[in-house]
Amino acid sequence: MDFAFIKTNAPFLLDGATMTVALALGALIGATAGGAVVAALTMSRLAPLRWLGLAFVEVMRNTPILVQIFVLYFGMPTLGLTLSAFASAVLAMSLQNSAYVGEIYRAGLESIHPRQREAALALGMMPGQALRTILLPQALRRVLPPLGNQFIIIIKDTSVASTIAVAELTQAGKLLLDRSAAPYETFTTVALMYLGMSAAVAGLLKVAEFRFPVRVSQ
Amino acid sequence: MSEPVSSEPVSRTTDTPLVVIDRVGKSFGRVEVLKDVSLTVAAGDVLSLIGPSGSGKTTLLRCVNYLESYERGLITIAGESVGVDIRPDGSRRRKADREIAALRAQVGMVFQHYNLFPHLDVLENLTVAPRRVRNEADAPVRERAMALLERVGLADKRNRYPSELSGGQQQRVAIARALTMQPRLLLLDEVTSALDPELVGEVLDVILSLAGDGITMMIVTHEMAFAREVSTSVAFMADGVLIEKGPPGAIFDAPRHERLCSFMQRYRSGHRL
Repeated sequence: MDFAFIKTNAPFLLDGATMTVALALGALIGATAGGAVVAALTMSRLAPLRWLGLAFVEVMRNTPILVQIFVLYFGMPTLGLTLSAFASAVLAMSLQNSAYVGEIYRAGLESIHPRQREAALALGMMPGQALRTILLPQALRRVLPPLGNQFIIIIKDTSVASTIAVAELTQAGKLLLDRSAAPYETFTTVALMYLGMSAAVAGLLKVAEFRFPVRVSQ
Repeated sequence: MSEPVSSEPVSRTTDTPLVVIDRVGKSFGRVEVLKDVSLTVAAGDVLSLIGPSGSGKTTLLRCVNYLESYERGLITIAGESVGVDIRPDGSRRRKADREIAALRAQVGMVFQHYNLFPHLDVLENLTVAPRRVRNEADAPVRERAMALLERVGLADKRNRYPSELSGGQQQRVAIARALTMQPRLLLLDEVTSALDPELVGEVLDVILSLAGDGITMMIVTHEMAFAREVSTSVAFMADGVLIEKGPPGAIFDAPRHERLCSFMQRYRSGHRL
């Protein structure tokens, strides 16, 4: 292992890592918000909205993320909409992960016993109030573990953006490889950087789980 | 000018009962669970609903705050119709969510399974509705909540979570939670049925003391001795029909209807009802 090589080239890889964080953060915010929309659709009282939500979920999770990125990046210009490589990657990952996160939200809400909603309504709360003050706070605590899982998948999936030349960590690794022919040092370092980012997110979620414990009664 | 103070309960200006249940009917699919049920409850009354399982008493109770809808007849509370408006042409229209919520805010309910909010501590369970539903200021609500916790003997548990309490304690918190909204009517749905036998007494004691204060209550219960002690009137239901209603003495000692007689007989011979 050539430590001098790693030390010299670490700044270059760190620039890539910064771009990875930007991609992941964009997709994470997009998926967290988009997931709420998806859950609202799939749990809607109106059948057409429910079907729309279910169709979205099935299309998004049954096609590869790489293909979705290509559709946005190479396909959209044909329709007169040109997206940058970065925007294409963030948007594709936001959309696909909205489907997954939406299903996580739905599972969380459906795991709360209907009696909780009844108790809130019986106290005079409006349905939306019951959702916000009673159901969501309980559901979100329960979905922290699967949500953390999904966030880590998002971080790792950002490497797919290297295929459309976004200068993220994997792309930086490939460029470095072309220049140096030191594959072992390069990709071990890249892997450790991914591990660091994922571990940070996992750690934050553990803290959140501890801070907001799931409590049940009855 | 101050009103003359009297130890007598304040009588309402009209003698209209607080709750009027008028020929209410409801079906689950093809099964008619409530058939033409009519009942009234005056302010200050404690009405117990008794009867075998599946007789419709819980469904009726849940119609009173519209947790359950009903298709026929009408329930009114203080003259206001519950859940539906009846138009001049006789057609029915569900009220807006806001109106239904406003009515529920005046009707407390205590459930068989307590249904406390597990993510909130005891005090927050009491204060969440007054604060969110009525936008009441924090301090007076807390004060009222603490007084109620004191009353049910659980002031020292105010910062505990429901999962840290026994069933009997949780149910006493649930009663205090309902009362923090200062309801004009309290609905109690088999509130001791999920409790271990040794915890039943502490909950019934609280309800007895509320009855002593003149709080209007409708109680669905299988505890016959309790129903007899706490009620001003008792209604017996079977198969969705209100069979007999009267003061507890009449219902328990001199039942007239044959269904009620056999129900009482089974109760006296120690069958689980």
